[in-house]
Amino acid sequence: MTDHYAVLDVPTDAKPSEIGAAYRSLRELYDDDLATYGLLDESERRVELEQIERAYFVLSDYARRKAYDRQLQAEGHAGPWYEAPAAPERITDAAAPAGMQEPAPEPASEPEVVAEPEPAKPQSAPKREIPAIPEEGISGDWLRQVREARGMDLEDLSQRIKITMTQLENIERERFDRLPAPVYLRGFLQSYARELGIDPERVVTDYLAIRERWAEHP
Amino acid sequence: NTIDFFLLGTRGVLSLTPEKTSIENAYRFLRASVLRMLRSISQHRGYQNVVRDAELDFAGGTDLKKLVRKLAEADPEAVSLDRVLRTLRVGIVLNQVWDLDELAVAEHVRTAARRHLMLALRFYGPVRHEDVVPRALRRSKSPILDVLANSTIADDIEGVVDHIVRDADHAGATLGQGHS
Repeated sequence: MTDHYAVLDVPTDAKPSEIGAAYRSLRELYDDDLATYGLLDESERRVELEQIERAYFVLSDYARRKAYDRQLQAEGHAGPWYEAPAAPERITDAAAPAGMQEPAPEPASEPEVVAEPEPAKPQSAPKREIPAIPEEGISGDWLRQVREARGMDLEDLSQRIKITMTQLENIERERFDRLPAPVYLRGFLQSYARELGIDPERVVTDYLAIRERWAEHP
Repeated sequence: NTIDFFLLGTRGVLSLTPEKTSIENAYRFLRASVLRMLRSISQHRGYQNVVRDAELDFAGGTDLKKLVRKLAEADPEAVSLDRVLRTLRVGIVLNQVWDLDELAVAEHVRTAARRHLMLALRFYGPVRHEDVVPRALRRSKSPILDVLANSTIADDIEGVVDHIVRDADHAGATLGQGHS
């Protein structure tokens, strides 16, 4: 029997949201042939997609998943089983496999795309005095204040340091869930700080400390 | 040769760009490295014919998962081969990045390598595209960090190095010991 959990790379007690996330990520990987170029040919890529769709079809529905888990159990596959909360959670935001008869799957859709906010309207504020570093350390808001004090708008900064305006705005608004991992963020913060003429190391240290606190209690 | 040198190192760093040909080259190199490793293990344990036969069976595109399964069947007492493969410490650097969205390519390559080559690749970070680099390199033979010390590329390289060093510290290894 196909191990749907292994296909989606999730543990047997994965929450529906984890299953949805794994599914979307794998769909994104195999939908396009860029990241599998030279590794899989077209037919192999199709097979992968089919398996992923089938696994998601079973695991995204509570009743189907429960029946599948019972089957696994009967075949002696031990593992921690997912117990749904009182009102079973169901994932409805992604595609169901093609060719499945019933129950009627959700209509196929592209992997979820998080809507990016409109980029901030470029500001051409006159140069102002640089604000003092707050006692609690450098924050995204302080970076914005410095940028504005320098009379630099997001578009200008974006072109100079080659980071999209959306990401710069994410940095300033501390939208950590939309920013890359610290190891990459570090380089972007350094570029940002250097362009504004502030101490890059101080910016990195303070900003990543805020991010770390956020990661502990998102 | 390059693969032997790569396998001798305590870790390997593979640089690729978010383009098909570069990604293909990376996979070919990794696949060849894994095969070399499996050949060497099988030779040592006396079942090299299994690898040879498997390579003939899957001519053109050795299915590594099947190959590992065959090797495990041939020698059930051998240590878990997928565990052996995990000792291959390889990280990737995504070079010539134009847009942050391209970071997704690195994550996809990692997932694909884990699923199809049984390799747990690390991602050491991106290096953004910088128009002035080719010009700077033509003008000077000095290291790029000297020539363009205050550039985005310098920031990124520093980030990559920082990641590699921390990874080495974490593994109890030290820089300079057989890096490839």
